[in-house]
Amino acid sequence: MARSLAAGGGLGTRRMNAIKRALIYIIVTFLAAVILVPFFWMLSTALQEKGDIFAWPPQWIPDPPQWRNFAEAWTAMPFNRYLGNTIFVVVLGITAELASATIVAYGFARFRFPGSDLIFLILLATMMLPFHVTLIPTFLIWQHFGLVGEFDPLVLRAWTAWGPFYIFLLRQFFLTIPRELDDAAEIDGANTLQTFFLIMLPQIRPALLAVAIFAFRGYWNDFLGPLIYLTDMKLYTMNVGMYFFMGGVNEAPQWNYLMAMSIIIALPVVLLFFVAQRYFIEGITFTGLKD
Amino acid sequence: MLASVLLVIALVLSACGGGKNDNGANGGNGGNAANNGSSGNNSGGEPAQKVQIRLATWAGADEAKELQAILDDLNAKSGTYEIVQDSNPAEYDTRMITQLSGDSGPDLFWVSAQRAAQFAAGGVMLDITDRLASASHPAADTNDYYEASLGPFTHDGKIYGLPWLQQPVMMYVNKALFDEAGLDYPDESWTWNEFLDAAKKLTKDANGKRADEEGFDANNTVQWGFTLNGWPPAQMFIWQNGGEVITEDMKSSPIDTPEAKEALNFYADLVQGPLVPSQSIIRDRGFDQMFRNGQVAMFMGGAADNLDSTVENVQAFMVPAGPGGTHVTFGDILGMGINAKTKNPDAAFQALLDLTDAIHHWKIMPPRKSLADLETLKELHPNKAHSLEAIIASMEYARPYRYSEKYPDWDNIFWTQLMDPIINAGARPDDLIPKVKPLLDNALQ
Repeated sequence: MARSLAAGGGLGTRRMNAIKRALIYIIVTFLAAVILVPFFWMLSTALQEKGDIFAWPPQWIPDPPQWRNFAEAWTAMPFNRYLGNTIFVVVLGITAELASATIVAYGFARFRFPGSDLIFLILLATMMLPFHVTLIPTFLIWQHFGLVGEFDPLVLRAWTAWGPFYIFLLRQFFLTIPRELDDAAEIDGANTLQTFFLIMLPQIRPALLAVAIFAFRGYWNDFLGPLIYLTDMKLYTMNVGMYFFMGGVNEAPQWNYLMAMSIIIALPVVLLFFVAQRYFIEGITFTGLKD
Repeated sequence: MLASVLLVIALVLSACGGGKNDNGANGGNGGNAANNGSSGNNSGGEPAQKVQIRLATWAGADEAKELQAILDDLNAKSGTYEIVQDSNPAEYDTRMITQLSGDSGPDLFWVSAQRAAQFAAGGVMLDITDRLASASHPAADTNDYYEASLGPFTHDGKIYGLPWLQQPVMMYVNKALFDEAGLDYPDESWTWNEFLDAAKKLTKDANGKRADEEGFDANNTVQWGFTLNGWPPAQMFIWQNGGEVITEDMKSSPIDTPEAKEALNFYADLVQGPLVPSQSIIRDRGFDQMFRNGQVAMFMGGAADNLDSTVENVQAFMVPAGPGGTHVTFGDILGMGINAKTKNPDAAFQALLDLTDAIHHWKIMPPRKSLADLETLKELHPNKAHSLEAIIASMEYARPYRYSEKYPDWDNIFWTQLMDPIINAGARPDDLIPKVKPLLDNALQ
């Protein structure tokens, strides 16, 4: 008797919970659908025959799907080359981002010097400058060094620790690591570099991974940088190359190719998100070793 | 610590910089010119070696390929220059303005008429007046060009670039729909009245009733006589009616004259009336796509459009004249200029002439009178042969907008304050004109 009563009470709250969950699922499903419709349309367009894209009524599921659009788009412009260029920039860029941001962040976290707070504030303030504002001045600086037209401005800029967000992220991480660890290392005879490389870096691995992922996304998706700095069609990255399908003054956009390339370019980022989403979140919320 | 950090950065920087520079010298220029280029003296007086000329364009995938074939041909023939193509249709203006603001801009670049007017006034493009006068090249004879086409490249009597295309707006007609409606094709005598009559007979509902018949159901239209979505521009209709949107001295905007008012009302009646699909239908089904599918019978587009060569039964005709019989059409002008900061002005000028001439033989419609010959053009463009006569005739009265440095501001007001409310919000010109005219005048001050 007592058991069934208890069960009955449990059923009530459980039903409430079930309804609540069902509601949440309905809302989430609806929002997901809203977000996914454009993706579906992108895929649908990528598989359409050229003339069918504006067919009325719209053809949601192409019949038959034109899978060859992907191959044709890839070969319409030298995308093998563009992919190589993109990977070159992405790999060098991530390396530079990680190395420079870590060192600078460590400096801000562990070393007090006159004006360090002010410098850090100024660094953060640069986050408020939109890219477009600094576009022309930065361009002129690179031009002064004679490096416009090459990959240099895209990669070398990261060595100047230009990513305040990464520095901020890593600095906060370093701050959560107890100083006792540094002291222990010092007592064991480690010098500053050894402490940094052997003790500190392993501690902030999740944050480094997060920065790497963010940087990958940033470099992979970067469009305006390559567009402005690269002046040789042979050096174009995927994003810039894709725009050839936008057509010209009397050339209609090749939407099916454009969408096919968009999917190819979006794929690594989407895959990366699924594989690494734990680190995306962890990198920002989880804070290593606690006091 | 700080020192060691700096040392690491310095090491990395120099290693990376060194490696990349080697890369640049080999990869960037390619071929023999590379050594010359990296030794820092590209300008080297005599063109003993071929000079590299960088050409920036907005060409898309197909256009870029065709252009490359032309460049390969020119490069093989020339002993002075090697044109390297740098094309991309994305954000062309941003890209050009950024690159031209420094010293590393392209030597040659494609430019629209509107930008050309700005660049010429701003000293961005090289003054080629004297070079043209002393050159004996078919593309250098300024008297051979249609006067309107050189306008955007001329500033204070000096010439800063050459047009490679002037495409008048034409009226593309679906002849099958005309036949079905028992209509004669348009001819030179067509004015707005004939055009409107035809548009009524070419607009029909699902029951087959035409727009000039009793019981026509405008909510159930399946075929429209004409289409408008801001294009073709209202300016063209105002000119046809004898009006102007910017005075010749470029000081005021006389959109309140009876001629301009009548034309704007004509435009508003069309775009808000039953002879033209609603803007939401146009957005859903595609502007030119509706014409291609036979849902629209008459379509105004540039002479270089491929509607007549890719859609069956389509031919380009002259746009209708105004009620007074005035023939005017909008002429879109595109051209090419030399970067005023180029290190190789002589080679760039030679490349400009050769390439301009080559494009004149590639695209419709070359802005040169000597090339406006029916037989020549038919040979160059067999797939547009049936439209060429009307296109050549339209060249005589095609005109661009009155561009100046202040044009972008004026244009912005004209579109957002006047045309957009008429097209998308059903506003009437008579209510808008008194409010918008002072704004337009102000933008020109």
